[in-house]
Amino acid sequence: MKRAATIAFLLCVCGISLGQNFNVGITFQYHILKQVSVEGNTIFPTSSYNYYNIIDNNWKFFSAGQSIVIGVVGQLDYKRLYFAFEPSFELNTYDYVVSYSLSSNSAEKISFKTTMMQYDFPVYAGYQFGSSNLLRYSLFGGISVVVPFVINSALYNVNTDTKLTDRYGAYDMRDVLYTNEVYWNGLVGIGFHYASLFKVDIRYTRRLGSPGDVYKATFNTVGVGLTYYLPIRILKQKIYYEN
Amino acid sequence: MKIRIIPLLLSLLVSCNLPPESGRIFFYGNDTAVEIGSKGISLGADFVFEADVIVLAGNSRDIVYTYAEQQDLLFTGDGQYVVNNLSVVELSPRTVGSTVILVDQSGSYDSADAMNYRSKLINQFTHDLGNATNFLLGAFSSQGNLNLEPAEYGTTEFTSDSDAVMPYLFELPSRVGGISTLYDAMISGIDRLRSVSGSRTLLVLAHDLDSVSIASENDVIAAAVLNQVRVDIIYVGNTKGTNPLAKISQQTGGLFSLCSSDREMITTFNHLNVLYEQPMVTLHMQVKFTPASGPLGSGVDTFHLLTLHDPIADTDFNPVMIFVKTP
Repeated sequence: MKRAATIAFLLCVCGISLGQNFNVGITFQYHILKQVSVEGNTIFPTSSYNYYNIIDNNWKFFSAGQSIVIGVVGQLDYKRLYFAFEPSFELNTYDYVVSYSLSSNSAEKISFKTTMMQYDFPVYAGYQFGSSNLLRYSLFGGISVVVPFVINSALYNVNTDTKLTDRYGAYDMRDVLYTNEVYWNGLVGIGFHYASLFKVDIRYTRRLGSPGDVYKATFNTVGVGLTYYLPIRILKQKIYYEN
Repeated sequence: MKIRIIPLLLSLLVSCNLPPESGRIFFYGNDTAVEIGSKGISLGADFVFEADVIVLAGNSRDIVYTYAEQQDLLFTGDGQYVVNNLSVVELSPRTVGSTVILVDQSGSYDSADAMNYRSKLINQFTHDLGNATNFLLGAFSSQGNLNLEPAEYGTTEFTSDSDAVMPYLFELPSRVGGISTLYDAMISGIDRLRSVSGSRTLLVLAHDLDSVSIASENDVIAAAVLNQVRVDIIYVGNTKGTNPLAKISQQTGGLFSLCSSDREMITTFNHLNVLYEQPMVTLHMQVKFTPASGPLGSGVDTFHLLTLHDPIADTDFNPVMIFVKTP
């Protein structure tokens, strides 16, 4: 955490002194394409005596969870490169479906829904193409420190059975799909810029490491971001054009 | 400073919503009456016997109810009953020792345990046993989906590693079918227990009656007594045809839990380890039975159905089947 903050600070300081342009903006992101995957065939939770079968590790639109992100951006342009620090607040949900065997021909599907508030501190670098135009695009990549707080863990099934918690533990996915420990994300994306005014990007985020030690869980997310740069330097605003 | 305090407070608030790190989910059941033991006292024109019944609280794992009074006991049988005395006594703990757990795989659990509580309850029980107790988990049926008849076992040897048997245990619900081989399976379990020293317990979870076994209930009793095996039986279903089960458990010093539904099964399993390890506070009753058909002879098997009324909830507990042999 301290290391990330130091890096970000140094980037800002060095960037402002060395860079050609320093922008500040706000960003909104919406992540709807997600994959939650747990390695193996079964999950034995430590908070109940259940035993779940892993049945669905696929990518999903909406139904594997969603994320809404709002944050601020500090971006330094240096020729074709740019460096950004994007401290954000994220409301992050995951849905993960497992099954529990009932008899020889039936099993109950249970969906665990985890809701987290989290602070993200992404730092990334990008490279712009077609930088002599107003409209240009870039590829970027970096890492993010994530400070999560699990605010709710619920479960439900297709029948919306209200007595589901009599049989299964709402916290059965603790240490499997979530903890309250700080973790890292890796991110890459492609951005479409309009001068230094705003940027639309599509970004892929992957959690680095697994929440628990016993089960290897991976989290992949694809979302869309919109960054609007504040016109704080409007009188001196210069758009970088390649020589 | 303020900026630091806000996320700290926020994280504290959120952390308070998380459950404690230790402790697992509790499965709620119904309050359940379980027969612990009985014996004949005197035989004349009337037959006087004593019985011990324990009433387990459905919302706990170690609380028993002792508030019943004489008027709350209703016996049903071929004769008249008078409760001479009802008291609360403490019985010594039952040493568990090595345990064979047998699960009935016959037929279907659609009516007895549709939500498959049994797998998680047995899982809970094997974890409750701890590392000091060895157990062997098996299942029984005939013409069903098991690989061996009358019983197959999840491991070749006794183990105390609960996690090791979980895959087998939770695979069993997908392999139900066939017919019950209860008595032959009990003989098989007793045979397995012969090889271990110390206390021996055979715990049977059944929901169907036996009609195909070569062995009879008397064979089971003889084998259990010979090998000093206590047979505890948890049966999910109605009272019909359960007399032999009551007899087996009584003759071998075991308990008999006649569960009307999965809710009583849950409570029995929730309390099982406490029943094994701690002194039991039971309702001890002395009953005078006057048979309608005249005086009984010596060594006669008698069965008595007890319905215990809960005066607080104004409901009846599950029925208790009591077996007593006349002296």
